[in-house]
Amino acid sequence: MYHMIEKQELGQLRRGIADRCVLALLQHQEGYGFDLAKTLSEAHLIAGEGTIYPLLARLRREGLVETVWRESPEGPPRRYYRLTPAGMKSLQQFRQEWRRFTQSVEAILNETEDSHELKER
Amino acid sequence: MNSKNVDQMIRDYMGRLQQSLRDLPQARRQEILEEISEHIRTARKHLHIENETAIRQILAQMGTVEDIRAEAGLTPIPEVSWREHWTPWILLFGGFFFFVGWLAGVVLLWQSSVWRLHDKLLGTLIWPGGLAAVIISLGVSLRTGISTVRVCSRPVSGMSHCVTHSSQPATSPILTLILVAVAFAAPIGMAIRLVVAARHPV
Repeated sequence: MYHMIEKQELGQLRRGIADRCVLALLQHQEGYGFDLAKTLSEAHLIAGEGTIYPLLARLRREGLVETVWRESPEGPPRRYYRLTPAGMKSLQQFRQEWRRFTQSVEAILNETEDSHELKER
Repeated sequence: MNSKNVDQMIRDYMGRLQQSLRDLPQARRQEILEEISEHIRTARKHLHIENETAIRQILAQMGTVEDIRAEAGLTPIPEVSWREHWTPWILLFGGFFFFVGWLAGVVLLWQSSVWRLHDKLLGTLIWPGGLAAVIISLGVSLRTGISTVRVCSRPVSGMSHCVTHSSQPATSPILTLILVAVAFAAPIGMAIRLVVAARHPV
């Protein structure tokens, strides 16, 4: 039960972060949905590869990414995603906030870890 | 390896996904379905050996259709229990059990979160008592319709003179037939509507 709650909380935390990571992956190059899904899934940032598509659709509705069709050597043209200027701005903001956030969390975790070790001694 | 089986597995998954995304506007649903379908096609091309295990793994990696639904911003589909399976039929036939059966159906209908308000209202109003109510009212109207009135008069001549009036129904037989058909069809149609709505809950 405890494990399940822990997993759910992680899931919620992950959901908010995954879409920012998509923006980061698109910062320097256009991305194909399949590759984005593989990368995020292997990093355990999305619940399943298929969930990338509603996520990408949401980012597009928010105007943070846009799609372009590219010819594919393997078959029909493919939909590629790329960052919009608004997406770039949002990513930059997230980067700063995330750094601050992780630094604060790290600091607290490190402090408490030290006190554990002191107690053990 | 059976290519029919793997195609069927993918069709099943896509069917469940389509069902799970049915509350999305058509264009958004279609786009997600197309992209996921293409994702599966691409994943298949990357396989060295295509067999059921490999396809099962691809589908497992896609995630559950519930996960994809959640990511699309939709709330989970409420689970349909035995109550929702039986409620439409209890409403339809429950009236035969001293009317109380129908009341039980109404309680089940309003307790469930599967039906929308208008389904609940219509389900209650068409008809209170269900089929039993139709049959009872039909019986009552038939009896009054064919009731005969015997009027006897004894005029001065001493000859008893009786006339039997068979009161004619006010409406034409065709209209009566249509009304009876509608009276029966409405609750049956309502029950079917509730069954269908329970399969596609809010």
